[in-house]
Amino acid sequence: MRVADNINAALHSVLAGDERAYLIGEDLLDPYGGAFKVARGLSTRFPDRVLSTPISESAMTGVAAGLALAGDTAIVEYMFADFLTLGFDPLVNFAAKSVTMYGTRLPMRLIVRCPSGGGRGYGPTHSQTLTKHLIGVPGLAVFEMSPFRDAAEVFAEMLALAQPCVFVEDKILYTRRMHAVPHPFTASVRDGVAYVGTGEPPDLVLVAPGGTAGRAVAALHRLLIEDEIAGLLVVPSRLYPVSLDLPPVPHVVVAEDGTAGGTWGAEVAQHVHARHFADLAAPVTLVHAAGAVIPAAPHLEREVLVTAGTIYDAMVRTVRG
Amino acid sequence: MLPALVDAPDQVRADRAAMLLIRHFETALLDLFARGELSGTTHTCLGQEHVPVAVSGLLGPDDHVLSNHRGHGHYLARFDDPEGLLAEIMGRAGAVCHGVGGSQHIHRPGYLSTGVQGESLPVAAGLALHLRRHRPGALACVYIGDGSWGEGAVYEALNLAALWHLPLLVVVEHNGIAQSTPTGQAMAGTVAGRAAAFGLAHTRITGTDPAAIRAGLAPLVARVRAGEPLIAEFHVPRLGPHSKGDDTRPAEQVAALPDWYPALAAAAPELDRAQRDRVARVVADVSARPPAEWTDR
Amino acid sequence: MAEIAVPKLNTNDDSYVLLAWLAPDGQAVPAGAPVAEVETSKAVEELTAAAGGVLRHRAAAGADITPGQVIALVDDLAAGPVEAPAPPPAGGPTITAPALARMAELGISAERVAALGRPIVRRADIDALTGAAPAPTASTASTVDTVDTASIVDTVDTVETVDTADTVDALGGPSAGLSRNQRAVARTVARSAATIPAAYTAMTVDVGAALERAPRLTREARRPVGLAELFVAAIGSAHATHPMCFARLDDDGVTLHPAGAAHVGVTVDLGEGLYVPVVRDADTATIGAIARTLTRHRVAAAGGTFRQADLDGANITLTLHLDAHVSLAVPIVFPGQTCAVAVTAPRPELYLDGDGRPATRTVTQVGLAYDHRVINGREAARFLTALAQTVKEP
Repeated sequence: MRVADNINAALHSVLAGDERAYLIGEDLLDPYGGAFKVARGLSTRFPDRVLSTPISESAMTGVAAGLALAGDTAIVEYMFADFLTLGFDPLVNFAAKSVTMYGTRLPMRLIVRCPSGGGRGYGPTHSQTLTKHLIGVPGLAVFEMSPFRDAAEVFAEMLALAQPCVFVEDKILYTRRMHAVPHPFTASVRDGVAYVGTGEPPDLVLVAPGGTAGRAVAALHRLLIEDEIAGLLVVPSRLYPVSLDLPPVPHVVVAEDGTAGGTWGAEVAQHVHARHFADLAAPVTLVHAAGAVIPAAPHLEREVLVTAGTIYDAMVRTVRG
Repeated sequence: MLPALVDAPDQVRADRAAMLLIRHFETALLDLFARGELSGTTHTCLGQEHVPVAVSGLLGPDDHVLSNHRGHGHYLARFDDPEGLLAEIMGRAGAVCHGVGGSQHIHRPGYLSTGVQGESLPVAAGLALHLRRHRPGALACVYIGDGSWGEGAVYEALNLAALWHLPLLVVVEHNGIAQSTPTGQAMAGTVAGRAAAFGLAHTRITGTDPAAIRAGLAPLVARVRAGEPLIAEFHVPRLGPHSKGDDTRPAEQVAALPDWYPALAAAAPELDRAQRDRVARVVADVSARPPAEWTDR
Repeated sequence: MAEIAVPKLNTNDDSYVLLAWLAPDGQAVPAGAPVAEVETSKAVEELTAAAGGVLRHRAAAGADITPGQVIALVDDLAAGPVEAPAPPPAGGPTITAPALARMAELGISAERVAALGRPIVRRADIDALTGAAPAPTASTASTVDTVDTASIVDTVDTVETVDTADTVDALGGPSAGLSRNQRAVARTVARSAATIPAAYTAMTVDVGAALERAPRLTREARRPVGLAELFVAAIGSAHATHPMCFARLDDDGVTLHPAGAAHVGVTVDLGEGLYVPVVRDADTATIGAIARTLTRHRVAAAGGTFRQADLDGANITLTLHLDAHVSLAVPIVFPGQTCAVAVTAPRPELYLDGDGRPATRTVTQVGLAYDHRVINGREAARFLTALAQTVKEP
């Protein structure tokens, strides 16, 4: 099953299982089914609860917040995560704050889905991963789709939090297969975190969100084959608040698609340093996109974004010093 | 025009009592500020008290109200709870929102205020969507000012409200000035022209008699409940500063603004005194309370 | 024979799924016949045979396939069936590149490796398979020091290599010039050359008995015991009789500080930089304890996970040059120390026995570089003799 189909199935199950659940976004109606086809079939099956909006990110997010405020379950689909900036006020100032700013906790079942990341040549304003801008917002949690975990489980986890959640979905991931890892790696999930490893005690842990998982696994495979270093990939579904329990390893690398500066990885590093300092031989190494806009031309885009090679090089440098 | 004692003397007395309560509440706040007993900021609705008093009389228990930064009148017209509101503003025990939200961020079932301009309109659209499905006939009523029309979210929401036939009542308190900027320097065209652009119903109200206002609005609000959104534009004076001591208008210009209060106070001196005394008791009571506690985070 | 390769079907996917074969393996198909169903993220496409012939599958239904990959061959019927190479066995082990290199070196077949039944085969597994000298760690192909007289590293500088916050920009590239590790080597070597007037004495040492003893000691210690471990032990036991070889001469060139114990620095270079971790108290440690310490150091060298304490406090250094053809190595003397011992690869040698008859023995060249301000040639020779005696008969 492809990742997009897995998310689609999860949306079907949320809307089928919850009479008060809505999906709101642009160009959602069949036969189009959303820009990345993740909403396929939903408007046909739930015509009253799949709302295709005008090009109005602020309004669609605010409407969803209004529904959530009234006790409904609202899922918003952004066409591109880059447009989150247009819905920042209703998300950050209203929805997230409403959970606590009225003095008693106000449940808000709101999920904002964001097709993120580059690799498709869409250029500077259609390729970003904006996770860093969503970190540290009281009342807001950030999750990311991973090919190692059923989206339905993650949706259930987000809705159980009863607070606004951003769900990052990597665009490249949509066409990948769920649960696919190369031999001799296997994937398992514990407490909402996916672990991809060889079963041996690892020499290194690589923490990466789901969107980078394909590149991360490729880099780990190469590290094993070329350098005989066993790495363990740790993919948390919930990116923020950060909570990771790592095995004792001397080296930790964090890889992500955000640009340099104020990264999610820095947040993870801080968490790992505080929790695993005694085990570490060196500070956590951060791997992220360059501090540059994401160019449209494929060769230029590759220079800026994190590739499997970038991750591999960083891991080798970290272990070898 | 004063609330007239005609067919429904109880309703008229209630309208008068509410307007006077709001007036004395807001005056007391400015007094508390002047004495340094309030922190932060507050936005009084002096001169605009009749708007929520009129509108609240048209609302039922299932309707939702979305208020804004200038929302004390909206709250007091909806809930007879000056103690809870003052405690919220002063951060004292018994505060509606335990002192977390303060003057601009208040929530009770069916009522919510936010301090960001234009933010509430899309939320109101969402609430209206919810009500249409679960409480047919109920509406979402959102108060905005003339300054809010500078925000894009307002237009996105009005577009949706018209497209989706939402039971949305937009009450515009057009007081001619946004903080320090006169409307003429901030708004090209008119509110009516904006409503027309979206094909939305619009009505303009200049009086201060709640009963008369309700009589005019009632049929339009009935249509809102049936899915025809309405923009009700009230032309009102802003008698006080934007928040506190920040009025840049010449004193004589402010003094020349129309005010319903002197005539009503002369017509109903006992009621005026009663409400003034009530507010004084509320101030004394709330001022003596311990600080609010925030436990349910 | 024609190939059926996967065309580029869209711009979004870099791999597709081979959903199903429409014609079975070995079946004759006409030109233009649909043979396979391929699923992209957007659609299912059929692939056809460009030429007629017998279809030979080269990928399994359900597999991920990439544009350009040959998923089938079509044998020309007129030319008769062509024996195509067998497809790679499915479900075999993952063999690392160092292991593959070792297999090639030793002429070991894939079948023998597969028979190990391990999901991952490393270089050490190949060594174990042949009984060749085992690599000292499970996680790395350990090669021992090359002929490199710059064999000592300033310990403080070495720690920098593991103590730096690395932020890797995708745009960032490596800086040119010496690696950080090698810069540290350079500083130490230069300081030694500038401050220590070193002399050098070498001796041929019979290590035949020692090498015969080593496998038993390895079994007892459950860690590899080889020349490195035996010489560390020998150096340690010489501490009592040759204290000057462990002493530290002050910068004033006059004051000597004797050492209370033998702390032996040992060179470790796995190709990623030179480290000199320390075996502490080698004068009292058992051979098993020495072997355990050196094993831990080699793992740390592979992972770059040394702690400061691992690298601090040596008062003599052992440099290892065990590559097969190294016959002479002259180490530098570490600043703050008096002696550095170099041990080269053992080699067979013809000699005349007590009766004047030719015989063979296994010898190694053991050299001593020493600070001539502290000791002289006579003491150097006596020290080397002591080492030779201990290695031969501990």
